[in-house]
Amino acid sequence: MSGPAPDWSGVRDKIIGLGEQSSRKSYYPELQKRLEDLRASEENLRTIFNSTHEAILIHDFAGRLVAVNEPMLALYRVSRQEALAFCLADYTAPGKQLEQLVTLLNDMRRTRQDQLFEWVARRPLDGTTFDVEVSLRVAMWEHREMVVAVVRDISARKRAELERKQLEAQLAQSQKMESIGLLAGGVAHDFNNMLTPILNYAIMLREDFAPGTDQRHDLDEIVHAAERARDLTRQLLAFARKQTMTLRRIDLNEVVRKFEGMLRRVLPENISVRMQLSPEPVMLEGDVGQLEQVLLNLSINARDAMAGGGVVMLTTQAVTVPDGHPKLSPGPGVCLSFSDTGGGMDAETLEKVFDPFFTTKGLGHGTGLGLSIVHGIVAQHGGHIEVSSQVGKGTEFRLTFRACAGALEPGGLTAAAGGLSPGSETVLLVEDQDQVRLIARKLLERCGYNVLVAADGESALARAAKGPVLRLLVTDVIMPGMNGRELYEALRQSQPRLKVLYLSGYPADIIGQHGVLDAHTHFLQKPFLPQEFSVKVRQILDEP
Amino acid sequence: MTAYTELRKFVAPEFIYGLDARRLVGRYARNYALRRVLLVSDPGLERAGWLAEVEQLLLTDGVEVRRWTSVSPNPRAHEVMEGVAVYKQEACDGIVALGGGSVLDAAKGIGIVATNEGNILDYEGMDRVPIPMPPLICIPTTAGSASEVSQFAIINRTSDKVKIAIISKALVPDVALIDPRPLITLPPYLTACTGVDALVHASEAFVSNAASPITDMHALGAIRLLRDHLEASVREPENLDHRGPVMLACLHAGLAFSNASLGCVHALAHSLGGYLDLPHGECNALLFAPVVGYNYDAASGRYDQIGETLGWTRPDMPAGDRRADLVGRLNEFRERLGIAGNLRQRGLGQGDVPVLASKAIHDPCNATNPRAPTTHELEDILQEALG
Repeated sequence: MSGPAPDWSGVRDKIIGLGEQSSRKSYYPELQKRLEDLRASEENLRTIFNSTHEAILIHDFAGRLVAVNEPMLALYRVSRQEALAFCLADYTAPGKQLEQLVTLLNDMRRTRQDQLFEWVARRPLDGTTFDVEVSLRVAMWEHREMVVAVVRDISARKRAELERKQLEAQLAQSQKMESIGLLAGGVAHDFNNMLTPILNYAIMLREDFAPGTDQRHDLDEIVHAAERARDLTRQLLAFARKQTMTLRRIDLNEVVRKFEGMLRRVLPENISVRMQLSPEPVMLEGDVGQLEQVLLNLSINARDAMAGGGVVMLTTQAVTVPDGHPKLSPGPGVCLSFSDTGGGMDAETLEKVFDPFFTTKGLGHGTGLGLSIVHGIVAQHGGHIEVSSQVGKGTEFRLTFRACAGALEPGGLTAAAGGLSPGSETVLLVEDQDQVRLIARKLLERCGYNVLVAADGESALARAAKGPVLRLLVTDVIMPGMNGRELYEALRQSQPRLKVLYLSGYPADIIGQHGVLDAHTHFLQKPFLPQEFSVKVRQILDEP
Repeated sequence: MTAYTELRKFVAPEFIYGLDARRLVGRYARNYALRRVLLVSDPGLERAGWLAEVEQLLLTDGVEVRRWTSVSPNPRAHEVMEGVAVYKQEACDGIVALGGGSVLDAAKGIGIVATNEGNILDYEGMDRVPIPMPPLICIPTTAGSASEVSQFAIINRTSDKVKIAIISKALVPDVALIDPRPLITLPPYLTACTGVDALVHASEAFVSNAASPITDMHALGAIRLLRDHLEASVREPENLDHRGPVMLACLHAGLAFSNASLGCVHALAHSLGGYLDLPHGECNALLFAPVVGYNYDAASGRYDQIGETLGWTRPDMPAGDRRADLVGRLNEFRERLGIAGNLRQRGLGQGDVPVLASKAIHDPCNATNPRAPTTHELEDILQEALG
């Protein structure tokens, strides 16, 4: 067990303790090192504190602020001195939020639970408010319990959300309009085919009775009812934006002035009409008939809103469409304002005002199509319609269109008055609907034309191949097999001078991409009237 | 170079000696800007009421207190680490130690780890503590260890039942409040053991090969006071006229051994105390005479001075008789104090002797013993103490 004795000389020297390692050390160098570490650590924490995207506000349960970070100064637009001089209430939007603030702080004091919520904040110097998301947490701050509020600006997100909602609503609306349009178009097509024989037979038959006879009166009623049915289908098509449009350069002032007479007829005496028209012509490209329809529907709407009387005001003016307009490209525009002093509409009604079949007029008192037709026509003109209303004050519709330069264009041909326009040329009539084909043939033959008939494209081609030279093709557009346009193209191969008149109850197929007829395409909408039909045929044949 | 021109250092804390010095504890805590102290003590002092008094004094001065009294005699390393955990958990910023050597050494251990991290056993040996500890205020309640002024801390490493020595200037407390009054509740046997511990401190420092004129003055001063008051203080525990001088003797002895270090008595006592878990003073008392017998020839002049100071060795005594005389009188003195018998009676077996010697040989107290012992020589000393 006995080993060599350890060498203890080093230990003895250390006991005597004259070496540097044996000095009694001061804690001061260590303290300095720790203070330096602390300073560095504090600087890092401060950097983090000031590098957040969020504003941080540290406050007590009474809402007095003790510290804020730099992003807070930027978000609330205050200086560091100002920041702590204001209290939490100054940073809160007035009204509901301010009322909730006290409850919120009391809850925090009582439960000490973390909170996360959306809030409306306020900049104390300019009073502007903005949407924020706030998280609250109780923490120790300089030995006292405080609330650490982390505030995130979400106003951009809120705006985007609102825009998205609006876009979704617009999309839903256009999808709804699209499907209703398809439905309306289909109904109109079948309806028009049915109305054609009713109207024409009734008119032809009416000629056989002297005015004043019972039969003549009864037939007048049939014609009248059929015409109303025809008008309704036209409205359906207009609202579905499938109406044919003939654009011309027109002066909106002229349209309004000419409509004044009609306006007086529609409105009862206790409603006065005032006009304030731009002294200069306000030119746009439009369809006079359809714009008159717009004015008529707005008048009816105004009349119904002012049962106790009031004022309708029409204003036209040249405007400038600003950059960023939701519908119109920037530049010169024309504006038509149509306002009433009626009962006005609340926000909920206002939202649905252009919805088809939405009506406030009670069952049986309106179709609910009037304003959606207005909307459809304005949209088809590439225009924009806005409505503003105040309950008890009235409603204003503002229609804005792109302005156009240049002189007035003369209006289209008006149907010649009087009887049928005769002719003797050879006409090929193609129509799959037996009743329509029959009445059209009858009308053409009465006028004196040499009429060849076919029920579809194939048999029409066969008929044309054997027959004499054709001058005019009168054809339905939608038929089983070959359609009207294809038939015309096929016939033109052998008869290049052949002209064509399309008949349709649903003009969507022959109208161009922008709802405008091709310049040299002639079209007659079913149900047509005998005279209208004969004049149109004559007119086409007489064109050079 | 004579002893009077040799470059020497003397390390001591600020200390206040005298009746009711302990009552200045609050002032010193404030002085060190302490806000919350760990008050380290033991259950006995808690029962005697000394702990509550010190706590109240601190509170009166606005210092928060966290008590930690889980210290056993011969403090274990794991107890120190528990204290560190409490210190950190309670975010204390300083330590007040109220107790005997065990409590004061445990408090030093807590302080070391509080600033230096790691485990207390990592700092065994000389000058192994790099960073000073937090402010430490020591109030001794025994007159023996003098840990309140020393650069020593002795911790029990239970894995191999050895008390390790941590020696560093960093272990010198910031202030010692040396008050004889708490001694009045110290039982006679412990009074005897701690008194002999002080005597051994003074003697080993005086014969140390690192002794210096300053340490010599303190060592002899201690021996003189113990000669006159230790026995009386065991007989009359509540007599402050004896308790006071014994407390002062302990302080002198502490200043001496802290700067001159110790010898084989302590090297062996550290092994023995860890092994049998005996009071340190009791171990010292039983080993003192055998070590003197072993050392005498290496430092006979110094041992004669000790004998003369104790009033035993006469100048006319033949040199050849002096060693045996001193050894004999030391044993008689021990028995008069009530520390009777030998190590065998305290449970040590023959087979334990080589084990204890092989552990004691590594103790740094051997470094300043007048003779550098071998393991075999340590076995011989133990053999003698075994009886």
